Amino acid sequence: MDLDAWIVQLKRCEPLKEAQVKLLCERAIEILVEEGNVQHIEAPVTICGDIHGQFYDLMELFKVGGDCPKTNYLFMGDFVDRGFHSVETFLLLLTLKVRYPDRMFLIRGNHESRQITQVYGFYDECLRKYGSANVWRYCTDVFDYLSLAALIDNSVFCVHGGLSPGIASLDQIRGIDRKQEVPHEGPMCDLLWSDPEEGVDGWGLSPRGAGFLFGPEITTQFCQTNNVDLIARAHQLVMEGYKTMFDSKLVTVWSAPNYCFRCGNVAAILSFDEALEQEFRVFEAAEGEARGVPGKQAAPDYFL
Amino acid sequence: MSHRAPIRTHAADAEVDVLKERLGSLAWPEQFFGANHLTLVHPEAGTRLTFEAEDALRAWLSGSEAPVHVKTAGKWMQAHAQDVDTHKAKVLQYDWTFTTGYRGSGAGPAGPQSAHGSSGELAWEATDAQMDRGMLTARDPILMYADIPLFESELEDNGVASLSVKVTSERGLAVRVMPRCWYALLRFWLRVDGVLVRLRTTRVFCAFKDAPDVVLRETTYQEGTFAALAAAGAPREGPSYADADAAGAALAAVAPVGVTLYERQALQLKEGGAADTNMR
Amino acid sequence: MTLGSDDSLYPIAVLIDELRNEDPALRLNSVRRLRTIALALGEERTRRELIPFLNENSDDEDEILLAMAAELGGFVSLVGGPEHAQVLLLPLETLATVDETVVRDRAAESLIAVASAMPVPALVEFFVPALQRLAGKEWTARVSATRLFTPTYARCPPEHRPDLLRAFLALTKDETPMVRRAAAQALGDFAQVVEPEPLSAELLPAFLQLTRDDQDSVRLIAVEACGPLAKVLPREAVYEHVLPVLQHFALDKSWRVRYNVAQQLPALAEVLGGEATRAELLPAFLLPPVKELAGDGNQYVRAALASVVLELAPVVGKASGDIPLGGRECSDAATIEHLLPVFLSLLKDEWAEARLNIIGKLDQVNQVIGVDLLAQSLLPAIKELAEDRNWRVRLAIISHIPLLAGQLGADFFEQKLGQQCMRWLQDTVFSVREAATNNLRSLAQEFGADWAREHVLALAGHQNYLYRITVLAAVSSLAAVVPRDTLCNAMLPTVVERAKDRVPNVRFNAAQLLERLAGLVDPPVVDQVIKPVLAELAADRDADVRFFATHALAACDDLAAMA
Repeated sequence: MDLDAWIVQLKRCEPLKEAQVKLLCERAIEILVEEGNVQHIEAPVTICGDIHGQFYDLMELFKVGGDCPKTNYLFMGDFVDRGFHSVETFLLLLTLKVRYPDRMFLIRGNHESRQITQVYGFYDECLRKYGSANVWRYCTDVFDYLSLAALIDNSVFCVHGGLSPGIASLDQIRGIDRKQEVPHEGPMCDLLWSDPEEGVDGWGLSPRGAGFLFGPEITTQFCQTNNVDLIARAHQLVMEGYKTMFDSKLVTVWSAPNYCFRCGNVAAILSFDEALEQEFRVFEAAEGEARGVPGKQAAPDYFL
Repeated sequence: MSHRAPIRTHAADAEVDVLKERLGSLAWPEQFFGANHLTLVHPEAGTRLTFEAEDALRAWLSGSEAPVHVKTAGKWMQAHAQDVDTHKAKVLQYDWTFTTGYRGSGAGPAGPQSAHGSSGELAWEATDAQMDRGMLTARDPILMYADIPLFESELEDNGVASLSVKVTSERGLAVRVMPRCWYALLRFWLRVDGVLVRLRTTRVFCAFKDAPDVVLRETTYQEGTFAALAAAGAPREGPSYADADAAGAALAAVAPVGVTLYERQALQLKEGGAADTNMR
Repeated sequence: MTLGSDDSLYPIAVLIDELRNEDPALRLNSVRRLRTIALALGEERTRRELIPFLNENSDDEDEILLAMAAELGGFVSLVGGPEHAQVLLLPLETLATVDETVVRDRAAESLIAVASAMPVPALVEFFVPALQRLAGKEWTARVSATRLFTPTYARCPPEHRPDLLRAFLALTKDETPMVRRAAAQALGDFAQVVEPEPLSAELLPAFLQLTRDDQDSVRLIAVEACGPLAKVLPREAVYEHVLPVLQHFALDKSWRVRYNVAQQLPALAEVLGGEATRAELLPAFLLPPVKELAGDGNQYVRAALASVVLELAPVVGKASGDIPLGGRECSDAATIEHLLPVFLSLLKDEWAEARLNIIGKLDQVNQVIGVDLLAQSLLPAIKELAEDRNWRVRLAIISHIPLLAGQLGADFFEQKLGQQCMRWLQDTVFSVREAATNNLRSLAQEFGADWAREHVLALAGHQNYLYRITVLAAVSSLAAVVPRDTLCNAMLPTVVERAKDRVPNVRFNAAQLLERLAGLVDPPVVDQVIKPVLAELAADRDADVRFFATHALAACDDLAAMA
């Protein structure tokens, strides 16, 4: 397993062979199984939001933030789906994780799930690129071992979606048996799915009939209870790449520029230095991200 | 006619926050093309017809759709009953599907220049006249064409909701040129995964060679749960509902099942006159 | 159409049969092998049977028609050579009339190929009437016709030319915009073969008419004829008619038209620049549209102008009567007066692509305006761009720094841009820092090692680990070009210090750098300074530090073994 060579290859957007993926995923599980549900990370570290298979934009992210292992990274989930290079994107991040377990951290997003990836592209992409669903199976097995959250220097709580009414303290997250498909309900589901909402007092229930929304008091209370200064999360597209809420107690970071090739948003990453000083770095879509996009010209069309 | 191609102008986060506050809304589609619009003007008659996102969302906010729940809602509520109780969680009341009854903003001769507001409503009247579908499908040359997105949402990975307007016409920027008519298609499209599909289509048509002073409008609402559609013989949920065109074809296959509104209306541009319908 | 009972022709018989098959895939397969069928049938039967058969079956699917249109273009030899080529005109004429654009275009290409094989008398007798027929049929045929005039006109005897010209002119005034657009597209080429008198008297007015067309798309294409027309029209006509058109288009309400104006500028400048006698007129005609476009409301237009505007400098310079391109010491007045403000405004353009396009040509700016003026006028702009909000712009500027440094000289450079080079090392974007460290090597070669050393080492105590790593990268970049004692006495201690950094990333970068320095310093330094540090790092609590330190130690040992 020549990880350095794999990293070079994946950075050219060339996927690994199926047998290599199998090896990689087995090794990744060995590493991830040792990590806690709330993974402790020491600053300095740069945190990133959703990537969604936008491989060339991930390369742009590294150009802006610096290569791993020079820079330490935490990716807060949603590596796959919607973009055209979920396979290469996830395999590169995972290879970096295996090569530099103390420099690269990955936590789970709501798209790191068997069910969601079958609807939003990763499954189809695996099938298209490998001719079988085996690679999808190996990767989704890894998903089950990803941490649910991370804690930077005991003062920045990082999670893909948000808070859960079932979780008042970090210890309650530590008590979850995370090695499973993302459930449809319960605290593990909430951490990956819930959203902050400025206009809500306390907890709100989504009009969708599933999912919680949390307001400023809930956020303040969680920070006090757990002695953290900031909640960093991803999950929701923000046009400027990042958005702070609730008196700067919560920040949304989004790292997929020009999301789905039409949103026109910029992306951001948030770097913490060793003194936990924050700095947002904003970047735009890579020119090459257009590569690999099926020709979807606005061709004149006789429509009815 | 004008719209801002090729750059699709999204509103920035702060702008959206201001709009949410002004319209009193908690939710907003993630992709909001606030600067896009299609405006059709008849200078002699002083008539203006606009399609734009903000007015469409006003219409959404004033709508009264029956609530739609995601597939897992029942199970979820059951599992969270205790949490909801303990934390006194309030159910937020708004239509998260962004379903809008918008058919365009209009202003007649006396109406305001701005597209916002409802004064100066155009006098659409019921009619039996039909759009000439033969004319639209004739392989007349398409010289120009535009597909203008107005808003779109992923519904937080529960499906898709989008509103866009397509247009063809003789003059103006980036439109499909047809020698005999202009035609615009406004379409709201909703898919809630595992639950339902909904299409609301407004077609606006003017055969300016033959009837320059009459604009025809045809509105069709179609929707159905995947279960009901399958029972009526439509394809099962899956690739057949991948986008609005595909879903339209699937719904057409079982019509009139699923059709909840079909309305034909005409707008008289001016009395007697015979000038061409100009478009800018 | 059938073949005899010869068994060897059986496969051909199948192909012929399949031309009529109901399955489109089989028909397509057969059409793609028309050459084989024609060879088997022989020239005469191909003319008498196959071609008429194809002509009767031209109501097929687009894909099949496209294949047919393509095949027929190479059929001249198969129907008996040039003297029989006219039999191909009928089916191609039909194909040039169908609805599908791709088929028509291919048919027009094949018609041109067939025409070029025909002897002149046959061209007059058969092809010219075919062209006239197309020009009189439905709009699809008329679009195809526009493409055929240039090759036909060029080979026709003079007595037949006025009719052809008339037919072409009619198409430029066609009622269908598609046809006018096609005519506008063909006009530039056609102008190259039309005699001077009708060119000025008839084609030029038609062109001017197209430039006033209602349709954006027609005006857009018409702009593209400006350059080709300028080549063949008398100078007076160019000044009187073509340049005003360009000036007018620079104000067109469609940005795509204005974009094409920008694209036409170099071609016009080239054509007109050679004309010394009237050159004084040039700035008056060419510069207004340039200035207009520089302030265009559309970013794509400005970006297009930015990528071509420097090519105008030699022409504008020549027009002023000064020393042309290369006359740096006597930088010419017209360029400075007229173009410099345009450069400067584009350098400050709000659209990054416009800024990048100008920066990409900075070396040309320098050639045109000379170093002194560069310093005076452009430096403020460059300093502004050096802190541009788009990091790719900052990166582009850095790539020009060695060039500027060489020309400005050490003192002046240090005074104007020295601090900036240091700020780049602290840029928030990694790639900019990386370029800035590489840049240091060029600067050190230009100005000597001390210059860089002093600046760089000051950063070694930065509170953010990313910048302390940058210092290590800078040392790595400078190591090979600084004198050995500077390396050992000034730089190495800094690296050793960093090897004790509290952040593991800095420590293993130090380890990697020590591995590199080991090859550049004397062996005693390796043994006494570098190896002890690495040994300590090889027992670090961080796995990555241990890995890189161990790797470096092994490299040191290899080095010793080789020595």
